[in-house]
Amino acid sequence: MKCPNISVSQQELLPTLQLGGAAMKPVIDTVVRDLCQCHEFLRTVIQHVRKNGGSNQDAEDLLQEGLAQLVANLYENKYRGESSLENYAFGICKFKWANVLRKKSRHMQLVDSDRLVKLNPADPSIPPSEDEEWIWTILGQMNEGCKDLFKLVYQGFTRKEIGGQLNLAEQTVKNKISSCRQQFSRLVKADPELHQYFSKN
Amino acid sequence: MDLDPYIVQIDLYLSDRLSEGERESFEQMLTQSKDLQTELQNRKLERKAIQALVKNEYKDQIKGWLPDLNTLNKEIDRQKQAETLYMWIAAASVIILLISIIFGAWKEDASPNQDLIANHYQAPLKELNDVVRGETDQAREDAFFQARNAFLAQEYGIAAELWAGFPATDEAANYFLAHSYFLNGDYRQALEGFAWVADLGGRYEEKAEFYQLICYLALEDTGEVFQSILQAIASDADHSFQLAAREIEENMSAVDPDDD
Repeated sequence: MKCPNISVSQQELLPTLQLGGAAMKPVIDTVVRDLCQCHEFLRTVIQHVRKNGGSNQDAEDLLQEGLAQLVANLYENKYRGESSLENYAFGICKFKWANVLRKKSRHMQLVDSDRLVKLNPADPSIPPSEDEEWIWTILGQMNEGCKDLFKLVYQGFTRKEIGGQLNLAEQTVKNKISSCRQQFSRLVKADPELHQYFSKN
Repeated sequence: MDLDPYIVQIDLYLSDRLSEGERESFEQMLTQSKDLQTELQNRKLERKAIQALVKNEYKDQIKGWLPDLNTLNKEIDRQKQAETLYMWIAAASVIILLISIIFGAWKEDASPNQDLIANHYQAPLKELNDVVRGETDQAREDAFFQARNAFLAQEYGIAAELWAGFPATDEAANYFLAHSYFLNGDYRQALEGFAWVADLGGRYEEKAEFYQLICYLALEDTGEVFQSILQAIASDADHSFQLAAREIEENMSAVDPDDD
Protein backbone atom coordinates (compact mmCIF):
# COMPACT_ATOMS: atom_id res chain seq x y z
CA MET A 1 0.00 0.00 0.00
CA LYS A 2 1.30 3.44 -0.91
CA CYS A 3 -0.07 6.90 -0.26
CA PRO A 4 1.87 9.25 -2.51
CA ASN A 5 -0.26 12.20 -1.37
CA ILE A 6 1.28 12.26 2.13
CA SER A 7 3.12 15.56 2.00
CA VAL A 8 5.40 15.06 5.03
CA SER A 9 8.27 12.64 4.50
CA GLN A 10 9.45 10.21 7.16
CA GLN A 11 12.72 12.17 7.32
CA GLU A 12 10.77 15.28 8.29
CA LEU A 13 8.26 13.55 10.54
CA LEU A 14 10.52 11.47 12.79
CA PRO A 15 12.81 14.26 14.08
CA THR A 16 9.77 16.47 14.72
CA LEU A 17 8.16 13.73 16.83
CA GLN A 18 11.41 13.06 18.66
CA LEU A 19 11.89 16.73 19.57
CA GLY A 20 8.27 17.25 20.63
CA GLY A 21 7.04 20.79 21.25
CA ALA A 22 4.53 22.95 19.45
CA ALA A 23 5.91 21.97 16.02
CA MET A 24 4.31 18.52 16.34
CA LYS A 25 0.66 19.52 16.02
CA PRO A 26 0.70 21.03 12.49
CA VAL A 27 2.82 18.14 11.19
CA ILE A 28 0.57 15.47 12.77
CA ASP A 29 -2.56 17.24 11.52
CA THR A 30 -1.13 17.34 7.99
CA VAL A 31 -0.18 13.65 7.79
CA VAL A 32 -3.50 12.48 9.24
CA ARG A 33 -5.46 14.75 6.89
CA ASP A 34 -3.41 13.40 3.96
CA LEU A 35 -4.11 9.81 5.06
CA CYS A 36 -7.84 10.63 5.14
CA GLN A 37 -7.56 11.53 1.46
CA CYS A 38 -5.59 8.43 0.49
CA HIS A 39 -8.11 6.17 -1.26
CA GLU A 40 -5.79 3.17 -1.27
CA PHE A 41 -5.49 3.32 2.51
CA LEU A 42 -9.23 3.83 3.00
CA ARG A 43 -10.10 1.02 0.58
CA THR A 44 -7.68 -1.36 2.31
CA VAL A 45 -9.23 -0.71 5.73
CA ILE A 46 -12.82 -0.96 4.44
CA GLN A 47 -12.08 -4.21 2.62
CA HIS A 48 -10.40 -5.65 5.72
CA VAL A 49 -13.45 -4.89 7.88
CA ARG A 50 -15.91 -6.20 5.32
CA LYS A 51 -13.93 -9.38 4.79
CA ASN A 52 -13.92 -9.93 8.56
CA GLY A 53 -17.60 -9.71 9.31
CA GLY A 54 -18.01 -5.93 9.52
CA SER A 55 -20.33 -3.50 7.79
CA ASN A 56 -19.62 -0.23 5.94
CA GLN A 57 -20.57 1.64 9.11
CA ASP A 58 -18.13 -0.46 11.15
CA ALA A 59 -15.40 0.41 8.66
CA GLU A 60 -16.14 4.12 8.95
CA ASP A 61 -16.11 3.93 12.77
CA LEU A 62 -12.87 1.98 12.68
CA LEU A 63 -11.23 4.54 10.40
CA GLN A 64 -12.07 7.33 12.85
CA GLU A 65 -10.98 5.27 15.83
CA GLY A 66 -7.80 3.97 14.16
CA LEU A 67 -6.69 7.37 12.88
CA ALA A 68 -7.38 8.95 16.28
CA GLN A 69 -5.18 6.26 17.82
CA LEU A 70 -2.52 7.07 15.22
CA VAL A 71 -2.63 10.70 16.34
CA ALA A 72 -2.14 9.60 19.97
CA ASN A 73 0.76 7.33 19.02
CA LEU A 74 2.43 10.11 17.08
CA TYR A 75 2.09 12.54 20.01
CA GLU A 76 3.48 9.90 22.35
CA ASN A 77 6.43 9.30 20.02
CA LYS A 78 5.57 5.64 19.51
CA TYR A 79 6.04 5.67 15.73
CA ARG A 80 9.64 4.71 14.93
CA GLY A 81 9.50 4.70 11.14
CA GLU A 82 10.02 0.96 10.87
CA SER A 83 7.21 0.79 8.31
CA SER A 84 5.58 3.43 6.15
CA LEU A 85 3.04 5.61 7.93
CA GLU A 86 0.15 4.18 5.88
CA ASN A 87 1.11 0.60 6.76
CA TYR A 88 1.55 1.58 10.41
CA ALA A 89 -1.93 3.17 10.40
CA PHE A 90 -3.40 0.07 8.73
CA GLY A 91 -1.72 -2.07 11.41
CA ILE A 92 -3.45 0.00 14.12
CA CYS A 93 -6.81 -0.42 12.38
CA LYS A 94 -6.32 -4.18 12.01
CA PHE A 95 -5.39 -4.50 15.68
CA LYS A 96 -8.39 -2.44 16.75
CA TRP A 97 -10.76 -4.48 14.58
CA ALA A 98 -9.38 -7.70 16.09
CA ASN A 99 -10.11 -6.22 19.52
CA VAL A 100 -13.65 -5.32 18.48
CA LEU A 101 -14.25 -8.88 17.32
CA ARG A 102 -12.76 -10.27 20.54
CA LYS A 103 -14.90 -7.99 22.68
CA LYS A 104 -17.99 -8.85 20.64
CA SER A 105 -17.47 -12.53 21.28
CA ARG A 106 -16.75 -11.94 25.01
CA HIS A 107 -19.82 -9.73 25.27
CA MET A 108 -21.84 -12.42 23.55
CA GLN A 109 -20.78 -14.98 26.12
CA LEU A 110 -21.64 -12.65 29.00
CA VAL A 111 -25.06 -11.92 27.58
CA ASP A 112 -25.96 -15.56 27.24
CA SER A 113 -23.54 -17.89 28.91
CA ASP A 114 -25.71 -21.00 28.62
CA ARG A 115 -26.59 -20.70 25.00
CA LEU A 116 -23.95 -19.30 22.69
CA VAL A 117 -25.67 -16.94 20.29
CA LYS A 118 -23.88 -16.03 17.13
CA LEU A 119 -23.82 -12.26 16.69
CA ASN A 120 -25.12 -10.85 13.45
CA PRO A 121 -21.87 -9.86 11.71
CA ALA A 122 -23.46 -6.64 10.53
CA ASP A 123 -24.40 -5.65 14.09
CA PRO A 124 -22.68 -2.31 14.58
CA SER A 125 -23.10 -2.36 18.36
CA ILE A 126 -19.50 -2.41 19.47
CA PRO A 127 -19.36 -3.20 23.19
CA PRO A 128 -18.09 -0.19 25.14
CA SER A 129 -14.54 -0.25 26.38
CA GLU A 130 -14.36 -0.83 30.12
CA ASP A 131 -11.25 1.37 30.42
CA GLU A 132 -12.86 4.28 28.68
CA GLU A 133 -15.89 4.24 30.96
CA TRP A 134 -13.67 4.94 34.00
CA ILE A 135 -11.75 7.61 32.15
CA TRP A 136 -14.88 9.47 31.16
CA THR A 137 -16.16 9.29 34.74
CA ILE A 138 -13.08 11.18 35.90
CA LEU A 139 -12.95 13.58 32.99
CA GLY A 140 -16.61 14.38 33.49
CA GLN A 141 -15.79 15.71 36.95
CA MET A 142 -12.83 17.85 35.91
CA ASN A 143 -13.21 21.49 34.95
CA GLU A 144 -12.82 22.51 31.29
CA GLY A 145 -9.81 24.75 31.95
CA CYS A 146 -7.85 21.81 33.32
CA LYS A 147 -8.82 19.59 30.42
CA ASP A 148 -7.64 22.25 27.94
CA LEU A 149 -4.36 22.61 29.81
CA PHE A 150 -3.82 18.86 29.90
CA LYS A 151 -4.46 18.60 26.17
CA LEU A 152 -1.85 21.25 25.41
CA VAL A 153 0.70 19.52 27.63
CA TYR A 154 -0.07 16.20 25.97
CA GLN A 155 0.34 17.77 22.53
CA GLY A 156 3.88 18.75 23.45
CA PHE A 157 3.48 22.46 24.08
CA THR A 158 6.00 23.86 26.56
CA ARG A 159 4.80 25.88 29.56
CA LYS A 160 6.02 29.01 27.81
CA GLU A 161 4.10 28.16 24.60
CA ILE A 162 0.97 27.40 26.61
CA GLY A 163 1.34 30.74 28.36
CA GLY A 164 1.59 32.41 24.95
CA GLN A 165 -1.59 30.69 23.77
CA LEU A 166 -3.59 31.42 26.92
CA ASN A 167 -2.11 34.85 27.63
CA LEU A 168 -0.68 33.70 30.94
CA ALA A 169 2.74 33.98 32.50
CA GLU A 170 4.86 30.83 32.43
CA GLN A 171 4.78 30.57 36.23
CA THR A 172 1.00 30.89 36.26
CA VAL A 173 0.80 28.04 33.74
CA LYS A 174 3.01 25.89 35.98
CA ASN A 175 0.83 26.62 39.00
CA LYS A 176 -2.35 25.86 37.09
CA ILE A 177 -0.98 22.57 35.78
CA SER A 178 0.06 21.62 39.27
CA SER A 179 -3.37 22.42 40.67
CA CYS A 180 -5.09 20.46 37.86
CA ARG A 181 -2.93 17.47 38.62
CA GLN A 182 -3.91 17.64 42.25
CA GLN A 183 -7.55 17.78 41.19
CA PHE A 184 -7.08 14.69 39.04
CA SER A 185 -5.39 12.75 41.87
CA ARG A 186 -8.10 13.81 44.31
CA LEU A 187 -10.81 12.54 41.98
CA VAL A 188 -9.10 9.20 41.61
CA LYS A 189 -8.57 8.84 45.33
CA ALA A 190 -12.08 9.98 46.17
CA ASP A 191 -13.63 7.00 44.44
CA PRO A 192 -12.33 3.82 46.09
CA GLU A 193 -13.51 1.77 43.13
CA LEU A 194 -11.65 4.00 40.69
CA HIS A 195 -8.63 4.13 42.92
CA GLN A 196 -8.52 0.34 43.10
CA TYR A 197 -9.02 0.04 39.35
CA PHE A 198 -6.20 2.45 38.59
CA SER A 199 -3.90 0.92 41.17
CA LYS A 200 -4.48 -2.43 39.55
CA ASN A 201 -3.78 -1.06 36.06
CA MET B 1 10.75 14.96 48.28
CA ASP B 2 10.42 18.07 46.13
CA LEU B 3 9.18 16.78 42.77
CA ASP B 4 9.24 20.12 40.96
CA PRO B 5 12.55 19.50 39.15
CA TYR B 6 11.16 16.25 37.80
CA ILE B 7 7.79 17.46 36.55
CA VAL B 8 8.94 18.08 32.95
CA GLN B 9 11.27 15.11 33.02
CA ILE B 10 8.39 12.75 33.80
CA ASP B 11 6.58 13.94 30.65
CA LEU B 12 9.73 13.46 28.58
CA TYR B 13 10.33 10.05 30.14
CA LEU B 14 6.80 8.84 29.39
CA SER B 15 7.05 9.96 25.76
CA ASP B 16 10.51 8.45 25.38
CA ARG B 17 12.09 11.81 24.61
CA LEU B 18 14.96 11.64 27.11
CA SER B 19 18.47 10.92 25.92
CA GLU B 20 19.97 7.61 27.00
CA GLY B 21 21.99 9.22 29.80
CA GLU B 22 19.04 11.26 31.04
CA ARG B 23 16.84 8.19 31.04
CA GLU B 24 19.35 6.14 32.98
CA SER B 25 19.77 8.78 35.66
CA PHE B 26 15.99 9.27 35.85
CA GLU B 27 15.41 5.54 36.29
CA GLN B 28 18.06 5.45 38.99
CA MET B 29 16.29 8.26 40.80
CA LEU B 30 13.03 6.37 40.36
CA THR B 31 14.33 3.31 42.18
CA GLN B 32 15.33 5.50 45.11
CA SER B 33 12.19 7.61 45.51
CA LYS B 34 8.79 6.26 46.43
CA ASP B 35 7.26 9.74 45.87
CA LEU B 36 8.62 9.83 42.34
CA GLN B 37 7.21 6.37 41.67
CA THR B 38 3.77 7.46 42.86
CA GLU B 39 3.96 10.64 40.80
CA LEU B 40 4.97 8.64 37.72
CA GLN B 41 2.02 6.30 38.27
CA ASN B 42 -0.38 9.25 38.58
CA ARG B 43 1.00 10.82 35.44
CA LYS B 44 0.53 7.58 33.52
CA LEU B 45 -3.13 7.56 34.50
CA GLU B 46 -3.39 11.24 33.67
CA ARG B 47 -1.91 10.64 30.23
CA LYS B 48 -4.33 7.79 29.65
CA ALA B 49 -7.22 10.10 30.43
CA ILE B 50 -5.88 12.93 28.29
CA GLN B 51 -5.22 10.52 25.46
CA ALA B 52 -8.91 9.57 25.50
CA LEU B 53 -9.82 13.27 25.48
CA VAL B 54 -7.51 14.13 22.57
CA LYS B 55 -8.58 11.06 20.60
CA ASN B 56 -12.20 12.00 21.06
CA GLU B 57 -11.59 15.50 19.76
CA TYR B 58 -9.61 14.20 16.80
CA LYS B 59 -12.32 11.67 15.95
CA ASP B 60 -14.67 14.56 15.22
CA GLN B 61 -12.02 16.30 13.18
CA ILE B 62 -11.17 13.12 11.26
CA LYS B 63 -14.84 12.65 10.44
CA GLY B 64 -14.69 16.00 8.69
CA TRP B 65 -11.44 15.15 6.90
CA LEU B 66 -12.65 11.81 5.54
CA PRO B 67 -14.26 11.92 2.09
CA ASP B 68 -17.73 10.54 1.39
CA LEU B 69 -17.12 6.83 1.91
CA ASN B 70 -20.32 5.83 0.07
CA THR B 71 -18.60 6.35 -3.28
CA LEU B 72 -15.67 4.23 -2.14
CA ASN B 73 -18.00 1.53 -0.80
CA LYS B 74 -19.85 1.42 -4.14
CA GLU B 75 -16.51 1.12 -5.93
CA ILE B 76 -15.55 -1.80 -3.66
CA ASP B 77 -18.95 -3.42 -4.30
CA ARG B 78 -18.42 -3.15 -8.06
CA GLN B 79 -14.92 -4.59 -7.70
CA LYS B 80 -16.30 -7.47 -5.65
CA GLN B 81 -18.99 -8.16 -8.25
CA ALA B 82 -16.34 -8.14 -10.97
CA GLU B 83 -14.17 -10.52 -8.95
CA THR B 84 -17.15 -12.87 -8.51
CA LEU B 85 -17.86 -12.66 -12.24
CA TYR B 86 -14.19 -13.45 -13.08
CA MET B 87 -14.33 -16.35 -10.66
CA TRP B 88 -17.40 -17.78 -12.41
CA ILE B 89 -15.81 -17.27 -15.82
CA ALA B 90 -12.65 -19.03 -14.63
CA ALA B 91 -14.69 -21.89 -13.19
CA ALA B 92 -16.70 -22.19 -16.42
CA SER B 93 -13.46 -22.20 -18.47
CA VAL B 94 -12.06 -25.01 -16.34
CA ILE B 95 -15.26 -27.02 -16.79
CA ILE B 96 -15.22 -26.46 -20.57
CA LEU B 97 -11.56 -27.45 -20.71
CA LEU B 98 -12.25 -30.63 -18.76
CA ILE B 99 -15.17 -31.50 -21.03
CA SER B 100 -12.97 -30.86 -24.07
CA ILE B 101 -10.30 -33.17 -22.70
CA ILE B 102 -12.83 -35.86 -21.91
CA PHE B 103 -14.40 -35.72 -25.37
CA GLY B 104 -11.08 -35.44 -27.13
CA ALA B 105 -11.76 -32.04 -28.68
CA TRP B 106 -8.52 -30.81 -27.23
CA LYS B 107 -5.49 -32.79 -28.28
CA GLU B 108 -2.22 -31.88 -26.72
CA ASP B 109 -0.17 -34.00 -29.10
CA ALA B 110 -1.74 -32.71 -32.32
CA SER B 111 0.98 -32.43 -34.93
CA PRO B 112 1.78 -28.88 -36.05
CA ASN B 113 2.07 -30.33 -39.58
CA GLN B 114 -1.45 -31.69 -39.49
CA ASP B 115 -2.74 -29.36 -42.21
CA LEU B 116 0.03 -30.34 -44.62
CA ILE B 117 -0.59 -34.01 -43.96
CA ALA B 118 -4.34 -33.63 -44.41
CA ASN B 119 -3.80 -31.80 -47.73
CA HIS B 120 -1.30 -34.25 -49.19
CA TYR B 121 -1.99 -37.69 -47.83
CA GLN B 122 -4.47 -39.87 -49.63
CA ALA B 123 -5.40 -43.37 -48.56
CA PRO B 124 -4.80 -45.78 -51.49
CA LEU B 125 -8.46 -46.63 -52.03
CA LYS B 126 -8.36 -46.28 -55.79
CA GLU B 127 -5.23 -48.41 -56.07
CA LEU B 128 -6.83 -51.07 -53.88
CA ASN B 129 -9.87 -51.19 -56.15
CA ASP B 130 -7.76 -51.29 -59.29
CA VAL B 131 -5.31 -53.85 -58.08
CA VAL B 132 -5.28 -57.03 -60.10
CA ARG B 133 -3.57 -60.05 -58.61
CA GLY B 134 -2.46 -62.94 -60.71
CA GLU B 135 -1.68 -65.21 -57.78
CA THR B 136 -1.22 -68.86 -58.51
CA ASP B 137 -1.52 -69.54 -54.79
CA GLN B 138 -5.22 -69.28 -53.96
CA ALA B 139 -4.55 -68.96 -50.24
CA ARG B 140 -2.31 -65.94 -50.84
CA GLU B 141 -4.85 -64.43 -53.19
CA ASP B 142 -7.47 -64.80 -50.47
CA ALA B 143 -5.16 -63.33 -47.83
CA PHE B 144 -4.54 -60.29 -50.05
CA PHE B 145 -8.24 -59.57 -50.50
CA GLN B 146 -8.88 -60.26 -46.82
CA ALA B 147 -6.30 -57.60 -46.01
CA ARG B 148 -7.88 -55.25 -48.55
CA ASN B 149 -11.30 -55.71 -46.94
CA ALA B 150 -9.86 -55.07 -43.48
CA PHE B 151 -8.19 -51.89 -44.84
CA LEU B 152 -11.46 -50.70 -46.40
CA ALA B 153 -13.21 -51.44 -43.09
CA GLN B 154 -10.56 -49.16 -41.47
CA GLU B 155 -9.16 -52.08 -39.49
CA TYR B 156 -5.62 -51.05 -40.29
CA GLY B 157 -3.98 -53.18 -37.59
CA ILE B 158 -5.48 -56.37 -39.04
CA ALA B 159 -4.67 -55.28 -42.59
CA ALA B 160 -1.05 -54.61 -41.57
CA GLU B 161 -0.74 -58.05 -39.97
CA LEU B 162 -2.04 -59.77 -43.11
CA TRP B 163 0.13 -57.81 -45.56
CA ALA B 164 3.17 -58.29 -43.39
CA GLY B 165 2.92 -61.99 -44.29
CA PHE B 166 3.68 -61.30 -47.95
CA PRO B 167 7.23 -61.50 -49.35
CA ALA B 168 9.43 -58.41 -49.18
CA THR B 169 9.57 -58.33 -52.96
CA ASP B 170 5.77 -58.03 -53.30
CA GLU B 171 5.63 -54.34 -54.13
CA ALA B 172 1.86 -53.86 -53.90
CA ALA B 173 1.51 -55.76 -50.61
CA ASN B 174 4.39 -53.76 -49.08
CA TYR B 175 2.98 -50.49 -50.38
CA PHE B 176 -0.40 -51.14 -48.78
CA LEU B 177 1.35 -52.43 -45.66
CA ALA B 178 3.11 -49.05 -45.30
CA HIS B 179 -0.24 -47.26 -45.68
CA SER B 180 -1.78 -49.55 -43.05
CA TYR B 181 1.01 -48.67 -40.62
CA PHE B 182 0.55 -44.99 -41.41
CA LEU B 183 -3.19 -45.01 -40.85
CA ASN B 184 -2.70 -47.05 -37.70
CA GLY B 185 -0.50 -44.20 -36.36
CA ASP B 186 2.75 -46.16 -36.59
CA TYR B 187 4.64 -43.55 -38.62
CA ARG B 188 8.13 -44.90 -38.04
CA GLN B 189 7.22 -48.32 -39.51
CA ALA B 190 5.26 -46.64 -42.29
CA LEU B 191 8.37 -44.61 -43.17
CA GLU B 192 10.51 -47.73 -43.36
CA GLY B 193 7.84 -49.43 -45.46
CA PHE B 194 7.61 -46.60 -47.98
CA ALA B 195 11.41 -46.37 -48.15
CA TRP B 196 11.55 -50.08 -48.95
CA VAL B 197 8.90 -49.77 -51.67
CA ALA B 198 10.69 -46.75 -53.16
CA ASP B 199 13.89 -48.78 -53.33
CA LEU B 200 12.10 -51.57 -55.18
CA GLY B 201 11.70 -49.07 -58.04
CA GLY B 202 8.38 -50.38 -59.32
CA ARG B 203 5.07 -48.74 -60.16
CA TYR B 204 4.63 -47.33 -56.61
CA GLU B 205 8.12 -45.85 -56.46
CA GLU B 206 7.20 -42.16 -56.80
CA LYS B 207 4.23 -42.43 -54.49
CA ALA B 208 6.33 -44.21 -51.87
CA GLU B 209 9.03 -41.53 -52.19
CA PHE B 210 6.46 -38.80 -51.59
CA TYR B 211 4.73 -40.58 -48.71
CA GLN B 212 8.06 -40.80 -46.95
CA LEU B 213 7.81 -36.99 -46.68
CA ILE B 214 4.34 -37.33 -45.20
CA CYS B 215 5.69 -39.81 -42.63
CA TYR B 216 8.49 -37.38 -41.68
CA LEU B 217 5.91 -34.61 -41.26
CA ALA B 218 3.83 -36.85 -39.01
CA LEU B 219 6.95 -37.65 -36.99
CA GLU B 220 7.75 -33.90 -36.89
CA ASP B 221 11.19 -34.76 -38.16
CA THR B 222 11.96 -32.27 -40.92
CA GLY B 223 15.71 -32.62 -40.68
CA GLU B 224 18.34 -33.32 -43.27
CA VAL B 225 16.87 -36.53 -44.75
CA PHE B 226 13.43 -34.97 -45.09
CA GLN B 227 14.93 -31.88 -46.77
CA SER B 228 16.99 -33.89 -49.22
CA ILE B 229 13.98 -35.99 -50.32
CA LEU B 230 11.82 -32.88 -50.53
CA GLN B 231 14.37 -31.05 -52.70
CA ALA B 232 14.88 -34.05 -54.92
CA ILE B 233 11.14 -34.38 -55.63
CA ALA B 234 10.52 -30.63 -55.92
CA SER B 235 13.35 -30.19 -58.43
CA ASP B 236 12.39 -33.21 -60.55
CA ALA B 237 10.14 -31.95 -63.35
CA ASP B 238 9.25 -35.51 -64.28
CA HIS B 239 8.21 -36.54 -60.80
CA SER B 240 4.43 -36.84 -60.51
CA PHE B 241 4.55 -35.28 -56.99
CA GLN B 242 6.73 -32.29 -57.94
CA LEU B 243 3.91 -29.75 -57.44
CA ALA B 244 2.88 -31.27 -54.13
CA ALA B 245 6.51 -31.21 -52.96
CA ARG B 246 6.84 -27.54 -53.96
CA GLU B 247 3.68 -26.71 -52.04
CA ILE B 248 5.14 -28.35 -48.94
CA GLU B 249 8.39 -26.47 -49.49
CA GLU B 250 6.55 -23.14 -49.68
CA ASN B 251 4.54 -23.95 -46.58
CA MET B 252 7.60 -24.95 -44.65
CA SER B 253 9.53 -21.80 -45.55
CA ALA B 254 6.50 -19.68 -44.57
CA VAL B 255 6.49 -21.07 -41.02
CA ASP B 256 10.25 -21.53 -40.54
CA PRO B 257 11.36 -18.80 -38.09
CA ASP B 258 15.03 -19.19 -39.06
CA ASP B 259 14.33 -18.62 -42.72
CA ASP B 260 14.73 -14.82 -42.76
